[in-house]
Amino acid sequence: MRVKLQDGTFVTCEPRPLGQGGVGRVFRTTDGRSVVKLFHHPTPELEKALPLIVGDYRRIADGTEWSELYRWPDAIVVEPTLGVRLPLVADGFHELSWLIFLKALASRPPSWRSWRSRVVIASAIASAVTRLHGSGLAHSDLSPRNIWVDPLTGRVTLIDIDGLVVPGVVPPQVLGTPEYIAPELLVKQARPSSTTDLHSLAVLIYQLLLYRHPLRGPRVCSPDPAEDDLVALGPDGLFVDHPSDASNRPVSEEWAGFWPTRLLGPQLMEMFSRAFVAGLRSPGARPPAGEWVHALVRLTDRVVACSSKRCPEGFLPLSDGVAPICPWCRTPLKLRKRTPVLHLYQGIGDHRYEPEPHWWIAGTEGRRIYPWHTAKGIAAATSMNARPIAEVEHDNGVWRLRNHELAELRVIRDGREHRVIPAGDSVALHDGLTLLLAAPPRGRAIIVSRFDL
Amino acid sequence: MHGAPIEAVTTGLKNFEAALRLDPHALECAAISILTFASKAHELTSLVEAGSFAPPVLTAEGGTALGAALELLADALERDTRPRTPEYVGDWRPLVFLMTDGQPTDDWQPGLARYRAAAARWKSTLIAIGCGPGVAIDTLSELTKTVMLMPDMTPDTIASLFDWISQSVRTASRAVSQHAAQGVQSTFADLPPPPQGIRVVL
Repeated sequence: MRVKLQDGTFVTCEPRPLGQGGVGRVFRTTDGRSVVKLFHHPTPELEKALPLIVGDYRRIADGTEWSELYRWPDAIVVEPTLGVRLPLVADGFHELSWLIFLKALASRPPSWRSWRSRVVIASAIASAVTRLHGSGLAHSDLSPRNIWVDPLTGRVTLIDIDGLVVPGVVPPQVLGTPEYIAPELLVKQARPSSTTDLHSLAVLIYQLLLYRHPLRGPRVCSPDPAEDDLVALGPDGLFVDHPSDASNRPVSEEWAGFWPTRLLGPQLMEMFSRAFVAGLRSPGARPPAGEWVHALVRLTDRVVACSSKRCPEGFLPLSDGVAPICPWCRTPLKLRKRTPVLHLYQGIGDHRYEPEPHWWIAGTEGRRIYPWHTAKGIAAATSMNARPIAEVEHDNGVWRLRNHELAELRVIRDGREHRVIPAGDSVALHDGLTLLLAAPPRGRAIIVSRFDL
Repeated sequence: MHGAPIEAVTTGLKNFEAALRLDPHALECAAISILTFASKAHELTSLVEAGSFAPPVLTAEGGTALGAALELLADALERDTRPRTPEYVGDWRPLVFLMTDGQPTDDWQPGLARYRAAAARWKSTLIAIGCGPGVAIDTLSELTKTVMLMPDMTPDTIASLFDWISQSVRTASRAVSQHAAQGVQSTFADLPPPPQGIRVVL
C-alpha cells in the first residue's frame, strides 16, 4: 500500500495492518523504519492539531535523550486518509501493560521483574510528562497501552502523541482509558487537560511501585463490574490506603498483594494521599509531574538489592521508619558492616547549607553519584544508562567514594576546605565526613553517617 | 462441519491462542471456554484464563443440536460468570461467538428462552457466524442482532475469521472500552470491522 505525505512524497507500507485501535489502523513501512497510522474518522480538529504537533511542538522531542522519550509524529499523511508517520519503537520495548498486569508479567522472563527498573520507569514517565506539561501540552490518554518500556534498562517512550491536547487550539479526541481516567472526566465534568493527566500519572506510578490499582479494593459498589467501576474510579472512589478510612483496604498488610504506601517513604506517601484522597474531588490538589520526578529520583537513591537471591523483584526501598525487611519476599535485609548513608545538603549562600528534605543515599557498594546530585537545577537522566561521576566502593573493610570525573570534590573540615579529591582518587567515608560536590551557591554537600540496622 | 473446514477451524483456534498469549490485556482479563454441538452439545474445554487455554482439536460430526447448545450455553453463563465481590473484580459482559453451518436438528425454542434469560442477567453479547451455503439465517437472526455470514468456507476466510475473533477478544479485554466505562451496553460497534469474505446481516 502506498500513502501520500503532505509534502507530496509517497511511502510504501505493508499491506496488512500491524494493529488497530479505537482511532486508527497502524501499518509498518516497507523500509522498516517507521509506522503509518491512518485515522478511522479524521475530525476537523485533528486536521488543525496535526500541523502544530508535527510542526512547532516537535521541538519537545529534540535532542537524543528527549527524542527517545516520545514517539513523535514526523510527517502528516494525506492519502488515502488523514494519518501520521511515526518512528518505529526500537527493539526491546514492550507495552507497559506487561509490567502492570501481573498475570501477563508471569508469562515473561524473570529478568523482566526488577523493582529497581520499576522506579526508573516511573521516574522516566514522570519526566516525559513534565516536559509535555512544561510546553503547555497535555497527553490526554496516559495509560499502560500508550507507554512502551524496555523492562531490562528502564527506558521509556510515550506513544499516541497525535492525541495531544493543545490548549485553546484543539479539543481532545479521546477521553482516556477508564482505569486511568480522572474522576471528573468519568462523570463528564471536565475536558482532558494537564490536570487530568496528573491523575493518570499518579495511578501509573502507584501501580508500578505497589502492584495494585490505588482505587480498587474490597469495597463493592455494585455487583456489575462496569457499574462498580463508575463509582470506584469516580469522585466517590476510595483510596485503598486512605489514612483514616480503611473500608477499601485489602484485609491486612500480610494479605498477598497489598503493600502499604509508607514503604515508599513519607514524601511519596504524602503525595499519593494528595492524589487519591483530596485529588479525586479537587483536581488542583494533585502533585504536578515535576514533583513526582523529584520524589522518584530521591527514591532511586534508597533502592537496595534484596539479601535473598530468590527474591522475585531483587530490590527494595529503604525508608525512614520502615523495618528493613524485603516487602516482596520478607527476607530481612543484611547490609555490610558500617554501610554509609550520604545525606544531601543544599547550599543556600554564604557557605551555609540546609538539609535536602527526604534525600539521602544508601551508600551500598557500587552506589553511583550523578551530575544531578551535585547541584540544583540539573535534570535527572531518564534511564539506567546515565554516566556516573562518582561511586561508592568497599575496599578491605573501608568504605570509600571514588571520584570518577567530578571537577571539584572537596573535603570540608571545621567549616573550611580541607583538601580536594582529584578525579581518579578516592576518599574514605568516615562518620561525619563532609564533602562538597560542586561550588557554592548552587552546589550540594554530603554528610556521612552509618546505617543503624 | 466436515473435512477441510473443520481442520481450518482447529488451526484457527491455535492461532487464536497464540494471539492471546502475545496480548497482555487478554492474558490479564480474558477467559475462554469452548462448547461444541453436533447431534448433542457438550463442553469441549471448560472456562480457563487465556494463559492456560489449550486449543482443542475438533472432529466432524453430524447434526446441529442448537437447542441443546443454547441450554448448555445458558448453564455455562450462569455457572462461570462471577459478579464483583470483595474478593473478586467481577467478570465483564461475556462475548459469545457462535459458529454453525446447518439447520437446527432439535427443538431449539426452550433453549433460546433459557439462553435469553442468562444473557440478560449477565449482559452477554452473542455474535452468530453462519458458515457455508446451508445456514439458516432466520434462525440466527432470532438469536441475536449481530449475524455475520461466511458463504465460502475456505481455509483463508476461516483464518481471517479467527484473526477477527482474536482482535475482538483483545479489544474487549483492553479493559472495558471507553463506552463500557460510561455505562453503554457493549455492541457490535465496539468490535473491529469484520474481514473480507464475511458479510454482516443487518
